[in-house]
Amino acid sequence: MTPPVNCLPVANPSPALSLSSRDGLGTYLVALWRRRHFAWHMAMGGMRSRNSSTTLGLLWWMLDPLILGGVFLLVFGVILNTRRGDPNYIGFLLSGLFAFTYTRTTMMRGANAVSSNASLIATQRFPRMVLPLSAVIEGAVAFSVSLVPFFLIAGFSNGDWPGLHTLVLLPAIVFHTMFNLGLSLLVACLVIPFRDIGNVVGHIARIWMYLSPVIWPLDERLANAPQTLARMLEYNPMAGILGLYRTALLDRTSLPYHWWGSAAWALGLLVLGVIVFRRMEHKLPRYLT
Amino acid sequence: MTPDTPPPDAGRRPPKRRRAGRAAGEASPQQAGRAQGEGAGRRHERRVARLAALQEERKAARIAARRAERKAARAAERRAARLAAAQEEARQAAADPDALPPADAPLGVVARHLTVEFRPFSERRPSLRRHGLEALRRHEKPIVAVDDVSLNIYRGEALGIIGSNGAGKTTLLRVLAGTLPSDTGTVEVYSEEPPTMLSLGAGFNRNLSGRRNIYLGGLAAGLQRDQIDAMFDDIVEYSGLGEAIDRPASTYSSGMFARLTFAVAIRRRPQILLLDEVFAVGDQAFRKKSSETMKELLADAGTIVMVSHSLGRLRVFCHRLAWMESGRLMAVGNPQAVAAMYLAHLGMTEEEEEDD
Repeated sequence: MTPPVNCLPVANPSPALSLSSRDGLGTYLVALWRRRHFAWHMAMGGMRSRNSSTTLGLLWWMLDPLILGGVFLLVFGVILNTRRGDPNYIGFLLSGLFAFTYTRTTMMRGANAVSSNASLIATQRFPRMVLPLSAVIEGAVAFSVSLVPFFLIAGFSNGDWPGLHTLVLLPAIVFHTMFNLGLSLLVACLVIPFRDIGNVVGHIARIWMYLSPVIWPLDERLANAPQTLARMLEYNPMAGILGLYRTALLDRTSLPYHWWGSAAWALGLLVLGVIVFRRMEHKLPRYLT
Repeated sequence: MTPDTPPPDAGRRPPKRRRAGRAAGEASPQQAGRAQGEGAGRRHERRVARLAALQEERKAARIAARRAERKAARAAERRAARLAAAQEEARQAAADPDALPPADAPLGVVARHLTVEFRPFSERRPSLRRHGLEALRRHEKPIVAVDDVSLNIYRGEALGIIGSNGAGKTTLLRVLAGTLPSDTGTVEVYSEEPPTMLSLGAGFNRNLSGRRNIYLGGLAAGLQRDQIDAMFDDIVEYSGLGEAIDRPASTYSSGMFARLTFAVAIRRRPQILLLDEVFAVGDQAFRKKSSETMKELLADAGTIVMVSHSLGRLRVFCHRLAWMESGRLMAVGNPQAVAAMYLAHLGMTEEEEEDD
């Protein structure tokens, strides 16, 4: 079909923006950085709107982790007596629980990040990575807030106040956030063509928590377990990350694999997430139509 | 049996009643008693007459059905002829220099050979199971939403896109906005920023206050925070929300919410504005204000592309109309001419259209 007469090419000197070409990774990341306020406002708007109709409002940011910690303390600390002589079981459980909740939130919100913003994707042109990024920001803010009740409880119950060891919190949060971002990117784009993933994410998060040293320390429980299983659980990304958190929050000695394990997982998953998301990104609007 | 299933003999009711009537005339004891005085010949005559009437009736029905068939065929022929004529006229209109903006008008958007295909089976309802099946069913036919469309859109013009439902108007608009990548073809924008697509409520959160929504919507549209700070008061004034701006948007009426989203999109003075069925927003007063603002935008060398089913409004507002049918661009040019062609294709008169 020949183009209609009124579509003959016209010489036009002004610089054109080509919408059909894809940006390189560099320009993409610059565009993403320019949209950082958008990601932040999306995250905060999401958190605010979830509590907008409650009486206690933003107090829930603090109450939610407290109630969660209370439930787990009751079930595992008191009823099942998982503490096995650990004098500071409360600190151990809460540090693991709050840190794991960060990963679980980003994974769950990441699964909805793209699919629940279909109208935004249909009408606005922006780097889609903003959406899973805002899911991570939401989880990070909630986690940072939950550190306040953690220090209050751990401090009063066992004297675990912040000290020099708390500096380890910085690399721990950086590795953890990189890991979560990679996870969120992967889940957000893969759930669009394979909606079935959205149904499994919650179950995966639950089994993952029980296979991680959240409620019980792996080393003690694994004394009688096969060597290969012990190895596998050590390579669990959350094992290293939680190890770093316990160094930072409870001043427990960290093992070498805590450091290299969490660094490798953080870097690897982030790179993988960025690559997969970039490949999937231009296909997303087709699936959402 | 569920109450909504029809009785099995629902379709055969008239013949049954007829049979019953005949049985009553012949066999029922009471009827037989009443018909005692009548002769057998008269009864036979009546039966013959009834049969003849029945045959006559059936014949008439057959003739009527054949007539209707012929009529439908003739209508389809006429329709095809009208479509062909409209296409011919469209080709001529496109070649008509009067229908074009002046030759030196600067270009706004240049679209070349755009094609968008959707594979409904694998992409519309995706799941693991369907992806497994997809591998076996590669031959499945895609839906061509936009079929080799080339279009120049100029600065300072309002272009309307008309067409039936499913003609690919919205898909084309999304390709022009850069939110939906096309399978083939290119879109070049002669402007510093990509086109702004306005659709009501995208990026807004009904649970948040109007104030937060202005920031959220503005950031979604690609503004920086300080830019929104600078135009915040202007947006509030334009939307006419006043004190309500600090109330949650869930308390707004749909008109108020529409005004807010429209204000955020229009007060940033986009160079190229794409409107999808959101031409009529808010009450009469706001509608007047919004169309004045859009005219200002056009005078300022802005470009507006709008998709709507309201032909009357498009015909008045737009400098050119584009008509799409099943993904193809049928005609671009003079609004009156293209609208007439579209109506001819639909088989409607102007008066019928005015009624809508």
